[in-house]
Amino acid sequence: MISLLYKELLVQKRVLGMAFLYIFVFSFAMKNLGEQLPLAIITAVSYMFVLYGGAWDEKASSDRLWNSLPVPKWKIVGAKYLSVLVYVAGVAVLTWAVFAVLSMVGMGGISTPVRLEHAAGAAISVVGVSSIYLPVYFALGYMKSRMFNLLMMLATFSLPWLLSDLLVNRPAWAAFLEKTRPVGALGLVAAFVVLLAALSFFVALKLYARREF
Amino acid sequence: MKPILELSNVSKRYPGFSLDKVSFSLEPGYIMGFIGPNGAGKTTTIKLIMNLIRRDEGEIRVFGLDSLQHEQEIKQRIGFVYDEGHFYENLTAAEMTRLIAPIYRHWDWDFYEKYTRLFDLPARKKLSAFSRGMKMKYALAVALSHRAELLIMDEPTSGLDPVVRSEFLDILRDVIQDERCSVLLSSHITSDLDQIADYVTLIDGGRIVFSKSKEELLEEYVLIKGERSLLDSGLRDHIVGLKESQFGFEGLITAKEEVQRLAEGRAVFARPNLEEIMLHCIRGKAQ
Repeated sequence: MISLLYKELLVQKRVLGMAFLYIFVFSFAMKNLGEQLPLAIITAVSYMFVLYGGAWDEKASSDRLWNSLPVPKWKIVGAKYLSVLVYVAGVAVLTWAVFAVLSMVGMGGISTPVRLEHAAGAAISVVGVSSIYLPVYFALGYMKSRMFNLLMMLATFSLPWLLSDLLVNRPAWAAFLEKTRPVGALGLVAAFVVLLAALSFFVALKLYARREF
Repeated sequence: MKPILELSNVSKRYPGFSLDKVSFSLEPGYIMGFIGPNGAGKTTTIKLIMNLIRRDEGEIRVFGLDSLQHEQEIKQRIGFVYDEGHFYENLTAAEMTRLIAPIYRHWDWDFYEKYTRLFDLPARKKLSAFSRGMKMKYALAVALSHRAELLIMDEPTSGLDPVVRSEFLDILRDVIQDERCSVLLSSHITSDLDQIADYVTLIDGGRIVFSKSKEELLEEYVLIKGERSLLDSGLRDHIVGLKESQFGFEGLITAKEEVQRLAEGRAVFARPNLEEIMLHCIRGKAQ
């Protein structure tokens, strides 16, 4: 499992520069999001890493390699799910660093600091979206799941808004959450996403076990 | 002695191609050449052994263990080299090895260092910059560094130029003599196996044509050449595979004494190589 997680980071270390660039560009392009800017950036860039991870695996035809090594399938699938959290943590740190530099030099009028809630919100969003995407990825591989990817990308960008709506704007349909928010609402959403991720993992494992390489 | 690898009636059906009741076994310490034309079922058989695809019928035992029930234990003891690298080309050899090494219980870094030095592999170079020959040598170094007892190699020499191919085979022969592991080596380049194989299994159209020791094969089959008129003297019945031209014929026979009697000194007999045996056996099947 450690090897597989290490692999996710190792194959992506060369796109780290690109991640910095994305964060920098998004900081300006999505400035009007205000308070929600770090959440949107961490979510979008983390999900890009999830997609890149699949692309690198496909490019190397690595399924044939990993399934020839003494590695059980649940570890191959599990590592992919765990890597999502690692990406979110890494991108949150990068975003914090970029924001710190930008506010230090006074560029772009960045005033919103990156807080733990942003990382937590992004983790919920990316895990949620990945939980829908990864079973398709494990069933079909990266190339064949690209169309589904596109839909997921749109969902990734819209999910932070939905979440922030839930957490900040107090929608009427979420009245039952009023008494418990914001921590309670976040907890409920997080619990739902954890359940979704667990279910997604088992579905992905089942579909991956059916694949032939 | 218990076979190190044993396939019994293994079948796999695809639309348009079927692997049909494949059976053969490999004794410990020997090299088996797995030959056949392109599309004969060599890679499918190897994928079945490695559990990369699911079999429809039959049983595969490796080290005496069922390949499905004891998959992880078996894979700890198997080394593999495929026709393509399947490594992350944006990583260096050293980085790739750092990913693979912890997976094997018996990984030996001294072995790895020894083989990378012997094969002249640069640790800090990206795998994308490796030539095909270097990639094969790297895969072999990885396969040998965890003290594999069985090496499974799928067309490792295809696409290599003759010089690199010969060098790769020399390395393979030396290494196998030193480490005493068993090898299943698939190839459609039979001259590779003339040099190193102890046993030969021929597959064609998803079916095993024969699985025998190389000595047995070379004793059993004889190449015969002569005028076409000879064929009418009852010779045709003894011929496994036949190639006719306007000048004469070339065929592969099994019962040399009987054919010698029928030919009455008008034919030339020669020892066939694996390629000639393969071609005539496949041709004979088609005829």
